[in-house]
Amino acid sequence: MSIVESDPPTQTVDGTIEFIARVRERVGQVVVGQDVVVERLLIALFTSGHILLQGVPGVAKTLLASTLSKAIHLDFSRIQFTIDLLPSDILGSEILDQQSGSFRTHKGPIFTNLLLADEINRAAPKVQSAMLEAMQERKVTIGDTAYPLPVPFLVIATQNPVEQSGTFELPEAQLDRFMLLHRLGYPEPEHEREILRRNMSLGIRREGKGAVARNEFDSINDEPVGSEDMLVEAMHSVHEVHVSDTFLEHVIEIIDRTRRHPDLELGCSPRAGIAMTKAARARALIHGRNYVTPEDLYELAEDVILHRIRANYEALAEGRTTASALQEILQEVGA
Amino acid sequence: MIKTLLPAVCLFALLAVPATSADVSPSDTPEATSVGFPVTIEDLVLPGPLLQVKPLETRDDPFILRLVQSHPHGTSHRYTFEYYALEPGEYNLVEYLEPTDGQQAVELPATMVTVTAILPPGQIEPNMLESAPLPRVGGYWTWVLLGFLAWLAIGYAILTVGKKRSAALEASSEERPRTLADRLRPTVEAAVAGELTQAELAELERVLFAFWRKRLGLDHIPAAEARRKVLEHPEGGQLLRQLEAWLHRPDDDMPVDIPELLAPYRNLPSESLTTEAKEAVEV
Repeated sequence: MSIVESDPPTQTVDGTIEFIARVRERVGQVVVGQDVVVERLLIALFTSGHILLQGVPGVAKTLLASTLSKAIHLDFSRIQFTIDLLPSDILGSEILDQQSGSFRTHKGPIFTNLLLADEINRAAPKVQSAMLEAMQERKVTIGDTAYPLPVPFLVIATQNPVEQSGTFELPEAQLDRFMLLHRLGYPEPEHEREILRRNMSLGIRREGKGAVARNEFDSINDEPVGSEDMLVEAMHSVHEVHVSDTFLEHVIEIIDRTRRHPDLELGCSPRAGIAMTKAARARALIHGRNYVTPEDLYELAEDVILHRIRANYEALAEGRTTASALQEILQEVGA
Repeated sequence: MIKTLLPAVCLFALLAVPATSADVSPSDTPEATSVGFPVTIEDLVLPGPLLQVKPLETRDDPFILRLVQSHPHGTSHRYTFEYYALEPGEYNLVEYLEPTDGQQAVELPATMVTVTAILPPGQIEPNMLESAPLPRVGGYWTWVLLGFLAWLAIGYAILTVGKKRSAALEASSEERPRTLADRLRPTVEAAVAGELTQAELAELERVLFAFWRKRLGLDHIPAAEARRKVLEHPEGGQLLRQLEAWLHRPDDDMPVDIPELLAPYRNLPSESLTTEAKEAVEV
């Protein structure tokens, strides 16, 4: 497969920043108080990474993904993962056509731009691996044919950290495929107040002779604020963000410390360093900078590193966590 | 015919001899035994009526006889006896027997048994054991003294090793900077002189950030939040922004005067940071 060099960007960085601002504003019209999550989604989208959202049900994960896909005019699919799901339910399969007597390919819901994999930890490991393999290789083999996935392709997976019965925890090797793991919390009281106010003003929707109460999904504006071209420009702009040698030294130092920390039995892989650098570039662009700073590293450290490290038994027995180990690493200076 | 039967007759005679000699007659002399060891005499045939052992009249009798079992044996009886003696000598068994029906005792043949003594004549105490004495390793007080000396030696060793270790730690702590301020001074000097590598410049940036975290009492909050707070501080924020311009910006739009930027950190007193941090936490 030959790699075709893309055309040079025609849009300025200022245009990209405006596009990002419009997307954030559009999402903000529907989803309240999730600026950080929107930022992380855009980082994943601009860097062709994937994101895992960990949070309790009802914090607008699906609404976020749906709003974002409509704002940029992207195809959107949602898969609710369950224990009886099969790999073919996601990837697709060959179906025998009774009339023609030949097999035809039925592509699964993974063939989309924005895929929301809801409660990914409820599927059997075989299904998880099939999907994560497709995420990594960006192609799916159905029968004897390999089909490339659409571009852009972003998986927004979710998992509930509370209900662990009947779930299959993703192993570290598979979690490593996700560029970011963001932990969603409950909204602040003022945001919750705004959510309630908006919900009260939704009204009803007439359908035929009846009516149905409108929900937040009905309030999503179908008019996109950006095109796929703008998204491509944004991706170009990310690659133009300057990364200093000093920043790389910071990344190398932190990654190395995760491998030497006494509380950790599993440190970061080189993939973590790559993800950190990519994510920092995208974040710098989103914040209107053409260069990364340590601020990007500190802000993204938890989302990039925490799911890639594992605490050892001694640390867990003494009540220390990967989060506390990471904070120690970020606080330490010098060897 | 006689020739053919002769071997069979001889074999029968040979087998019959032990069978007939199994009957113990009174003339047979039982094996001698020693004082205190019981002996059993089986199949002793005595003529006359059934006999029993006379009851003991005193507890000082040196010979103890017990009738184990008896069987009729034609006009006689066959007995199994067990006996032991407490003194050496020769004893006649029949002297200790009497008819069961209280009749006049018949004349019985003497049945003598011999009991010998293991000890020499006249000795009534057992021989002393001829065991070699154990090597003497000292008595109780010797062990107490040795234990005390060992306790002193171990205690002295612990104290000496501890002192040496703490002395080594003190020496090493004297060798390396003890505070962030101490660590900053040589790094800052090298930075002003332009002698730092990229890794050392990154280290300088981290140390300066750690310095301000400590100075503002932000040690116990997440690093990202601490950085936001330092950026809000007039002096600390200015430093971090200048460092960003110097170390991370790709252009020279914001030239940084490095000696002026790092001047406040060239002569920091070691203890000043701790005092200020404490004050910041109290505030």
